[in-house]
Amino acid sequence: MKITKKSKQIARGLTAGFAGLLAVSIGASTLVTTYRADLDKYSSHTRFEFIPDSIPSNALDLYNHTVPDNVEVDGVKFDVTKAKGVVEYSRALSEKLAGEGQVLMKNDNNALPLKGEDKKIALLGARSYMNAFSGSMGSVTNVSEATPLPQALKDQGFTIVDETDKAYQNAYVQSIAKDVALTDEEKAALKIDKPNAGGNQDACGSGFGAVTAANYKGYQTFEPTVEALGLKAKSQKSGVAVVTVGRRSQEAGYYLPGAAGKAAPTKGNKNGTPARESTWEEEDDCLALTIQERAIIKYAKDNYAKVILLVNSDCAMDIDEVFKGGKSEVDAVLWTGLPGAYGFKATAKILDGTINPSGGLADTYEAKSSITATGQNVGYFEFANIADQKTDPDAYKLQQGSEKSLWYEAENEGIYSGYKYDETRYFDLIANPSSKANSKKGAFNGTAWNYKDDVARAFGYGLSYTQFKEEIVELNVDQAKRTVSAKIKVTNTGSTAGKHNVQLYVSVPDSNKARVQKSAIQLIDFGKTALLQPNASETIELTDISFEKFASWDSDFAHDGVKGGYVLEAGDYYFTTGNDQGAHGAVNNVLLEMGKSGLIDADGTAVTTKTSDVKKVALARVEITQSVKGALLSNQLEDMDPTLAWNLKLLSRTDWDGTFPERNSGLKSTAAMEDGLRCDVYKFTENDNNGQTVVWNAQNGLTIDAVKPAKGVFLEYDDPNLIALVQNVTLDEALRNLQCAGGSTFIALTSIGMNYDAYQNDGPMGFDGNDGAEQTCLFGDRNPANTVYDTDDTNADADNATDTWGKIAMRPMPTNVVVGSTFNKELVEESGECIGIIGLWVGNMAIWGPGSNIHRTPYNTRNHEYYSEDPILLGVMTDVYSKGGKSMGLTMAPKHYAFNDYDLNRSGIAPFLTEQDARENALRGFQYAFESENAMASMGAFGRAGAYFCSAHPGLMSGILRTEWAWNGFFVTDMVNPGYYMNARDSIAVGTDGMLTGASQAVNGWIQWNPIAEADTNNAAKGPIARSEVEKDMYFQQCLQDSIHRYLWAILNSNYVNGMVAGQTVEHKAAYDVAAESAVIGTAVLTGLSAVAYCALAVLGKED
Amino acid sequence: MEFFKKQKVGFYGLAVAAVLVLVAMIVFEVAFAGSEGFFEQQAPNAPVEVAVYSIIAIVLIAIAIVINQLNIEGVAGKVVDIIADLAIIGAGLLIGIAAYLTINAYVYDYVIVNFSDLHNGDTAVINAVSVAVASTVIYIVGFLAAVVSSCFSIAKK
Repeated sequence: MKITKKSKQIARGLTAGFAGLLAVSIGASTLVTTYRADLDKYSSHTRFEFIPDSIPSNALDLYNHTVPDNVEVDGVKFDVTKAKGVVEYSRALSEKLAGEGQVLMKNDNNALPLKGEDKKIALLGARSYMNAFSGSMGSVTNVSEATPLPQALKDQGFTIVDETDKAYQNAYVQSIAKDVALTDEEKAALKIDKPNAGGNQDACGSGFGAVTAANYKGYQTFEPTVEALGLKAKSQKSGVAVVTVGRRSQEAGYYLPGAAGKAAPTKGNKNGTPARESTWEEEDDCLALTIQERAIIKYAKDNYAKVILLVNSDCAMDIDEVFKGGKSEVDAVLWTGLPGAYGFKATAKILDGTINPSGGLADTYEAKSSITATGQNVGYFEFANIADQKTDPDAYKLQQGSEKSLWYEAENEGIYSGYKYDETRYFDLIANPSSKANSKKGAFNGTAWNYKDDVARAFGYGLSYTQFKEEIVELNVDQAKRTVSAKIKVTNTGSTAGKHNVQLYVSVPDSNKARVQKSAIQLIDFGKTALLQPNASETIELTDISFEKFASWDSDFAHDGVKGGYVLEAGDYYFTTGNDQGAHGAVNNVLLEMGKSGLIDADGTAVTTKTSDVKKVALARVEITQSVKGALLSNQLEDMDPTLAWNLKLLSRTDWDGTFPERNSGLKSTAAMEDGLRCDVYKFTENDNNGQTVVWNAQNGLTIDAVKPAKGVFLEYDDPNLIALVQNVTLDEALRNLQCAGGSTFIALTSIGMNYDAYQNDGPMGFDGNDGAEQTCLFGDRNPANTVYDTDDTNADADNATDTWGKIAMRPMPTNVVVGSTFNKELVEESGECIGIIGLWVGNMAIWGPGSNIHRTPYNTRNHEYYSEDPILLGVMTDVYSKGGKSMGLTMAPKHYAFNDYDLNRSGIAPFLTEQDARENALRGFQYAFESENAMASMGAFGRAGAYFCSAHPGLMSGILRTEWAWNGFFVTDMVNPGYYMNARDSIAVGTDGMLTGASQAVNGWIQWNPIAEADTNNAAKGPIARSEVEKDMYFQQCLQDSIHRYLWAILNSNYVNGMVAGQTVEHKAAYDVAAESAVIGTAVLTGLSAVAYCALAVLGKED
Repeated sequence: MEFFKKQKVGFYGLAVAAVLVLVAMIVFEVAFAGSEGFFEQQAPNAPVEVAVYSIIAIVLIAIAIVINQLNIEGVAGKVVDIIADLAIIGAGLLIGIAAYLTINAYVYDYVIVNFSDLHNGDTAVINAVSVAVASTVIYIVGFLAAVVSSCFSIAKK
């Protein structure tokens, strides 16, 4: 064979080229498999479907969870078996929530509602046009559905004065044009009121990575000056001005007190972001009004007869000045919160009286949040011995150059945050003068703390266009059952129909002030009336309120050989309601009952009469040593206590002055924190799990369809068939599940006939995801069973170009602060049902929500995902929302357990707080939904609990969650970043079930805790899980099997099992599957052919 | 100078390929080190693996070049030529593997950076992703240089 040299070279080149491409193709194929779930999600690919021929004639009988035939909102019925009905139902429900959640904070001389001529308004303030509907990240409204405030006002019959309307539009365009060259067409295209979920005039610090003292980011906003607006003084003061102010909300952001929180001006851009150039007075924080906001309110006051202020913010602002006697006092203040896509329609209806406001504030409005007890310790804190850590290889080598062990927050205010701080200090100011409650520490006026100067509006405060009388007609304290029940009669004594929320509080005796701290007033339950016509009454029944809800955690209480338990001290307990004054009304009632004088309301007006009855009940000492589930209570979080770790003083009612917190900067990590900070806690050992064998791969013949509960039956956790099913899973599957369960999917387990993935999505205001994508729209059929279920609605079809309903991204609800402010359990439960119905349609079996962290401070930009500063409101709303979703087969997953209450350096920050604070505040947000099992999954926090990564804290996870609360739900971490910090070894060992990674198969690269490959077990920092180590450690195997058990329990009680019959599904490959496989085959063949050609030419051929 | 007069297109192309692979490798190592542990989460051994494959690829290119400078006749010459050709083919394969390994390390964070807000403000990771993408691009150019130049003679015999 005679060949040319050239042909051999070409064959060589082709072989080299195709071999390289083959390597890349194989790699690409691996990536496609690894990220299959996310690829499916974002490309709306339906991977699994029922085989049509195998669908039995009684298919719908196989559905454990189906949507109701009809639902209704205020008498209007919706057919939720049709996509149109679901969308319209969610719209109506959302608007109702927003209508009941918005709070009237001030209404002098009945400034509201606006009627007749008053419906012609000047709309002032940039936020009036650039509304925030939701967060800009995390709970993000579908803006294509959103009705901006100006439009909502016009729809409601308001007339907006042209002059101000145009002034803002012009100022907005000019603010961009001064930084960017714009054509006339581009200028014309810029619309100030184009909906943007978060309100795009604001920016605040954000980031997933490390914030340091050198790279803080402050807040900045667009608020044109009166001069820039070209607004002229009117010759006569007349008419109505509506001014809106607000602050942004977002996940992964933060506000900072002081100068660091106020950013320098930023430029505008062509995308519609205006220049942000706000300024503040030096003494003000970023949550206070800017100079420009203050100026526009002044302009309104100078030129309009009536000024209404709207507060479009979920972070409580420092706006005491807009209330009585303030320099920016207005006639009426309506808190709109971030009300979701449809919420401003409700705002407009409240403004004209179509809706009578009935919400109560979910958070206290302080005069200045940064000077409160909590405010002392908000911001950036770095361990003072960082340098030691960095130079000491044993201490720092574990951090791999990243910084997950450097930040802390020492919260020594104890239980006194929000109203528990203000109302208790006020109580002591009146009733316990020796407590030095009038100290200048924390005082807004700098000389003496007093309620008028320091508090703008109390938790629970909320006015109405009518008046209500509250009477506690019955109060029963059942010592045997350890519960309280109350009947509260509400009568509309005004002349306008309205709803009314009832808040039941208790004031507990406090004779041992120095040892166990007690709030002077605590919410213990709440309810809401229906619409009451004038003179009509309704009795609200609040039943079976557990003593534990208002008992104090005493860490020194010794019992049963342990320390720590709940105690109710012997003495007089005062039960009362606060009416429209909320917590402050309640505490005033108690003080009046005690015969105290000198009382005032938030405006400083003297209070001499009660807003409601007070029932005084004498109780003997009550000791609660067992949880609701019968487990022994004991201290679990002592390692988190800053008073123990650093001997910090705890804020105490004995001496407000001497114990008032200071900024706890410069603290050093201690030797006791080392293992936690190094993420090196659990050590693999060879053990036999106390003789309890862990059975894997039992091959007993049981498959998941056989264990599926009958319709209407709840599968118990200890069901023998479920346990047998769990034992059929293999160890390798369990190991794989560590990194493949949670986030987007619960991955299929083929060993038990679970042949298709179970899909989830982020919440809580709806299902997150790209607009128009399958995971968030009604056309989605991610659960194969829904191919049967949806067939009765041809509108909901991805291929149907006329489908206007099925392609709407379903994130309909207001933010959780608005939802919490409704104080309406039934309505919130109904919103849970609505999300459950959407889940059935979309084929999502779980939602990562509701958000159940506590509002420790308004400086958390993520407060919009959480309900309140009050643990009872937070915990009960979490429970009832979960109950609603669960009733439709949706697995509800409150997040982020626990202490994820500030997002600055959230990944790594170590909050330190007392066990009493944790148990009486943050943990109650989760406790009730877990104890009731209405929540059957949960997501952990990014941060730590003390020094431990939160999901790896033994006391928090194993001690409280799994033992005291006996909760068997599936627990996944938040997004792992990175694996050596949020490490699986430490987490799984204490009761965490999955690591949120987004992977659909075990990623071999995750060697630091790779379940399949042998890991570098000598490097403890990487949290390795080597199979060989697991094989010896039967306790750890038990943890893995418990994870599978909890995984299947949640799945089997969810809508996932709808229509499940073995062997009915078929998998459809996506284009990227086919492309990846084809590329591998194609390049392999071409490599082979090239190689053969080369061999033939090189070996057999003869060069010329 | 005599040496360079003797070289043909293949030599220059392979030399460029080797330099590009070396540059790509260094760029990737820099990106990985600056990723705050995020790349490590996906591919903890990538720095070592990428370096090993890259260096072997460079060595193979060097072997091919050296062998082509020799003037061995007969069967021995034919065997040596085949070794040189296999070295070039191996280099192509390894450059392809290295390129994939770089992608594998950063693809997850690339998606997060470009399609979500989770890395907002995380300058280090955002930069690391950009630098890592650059390393892949350099690998691809190096790969193309190696493949194209392997279709040409390396040196005059």
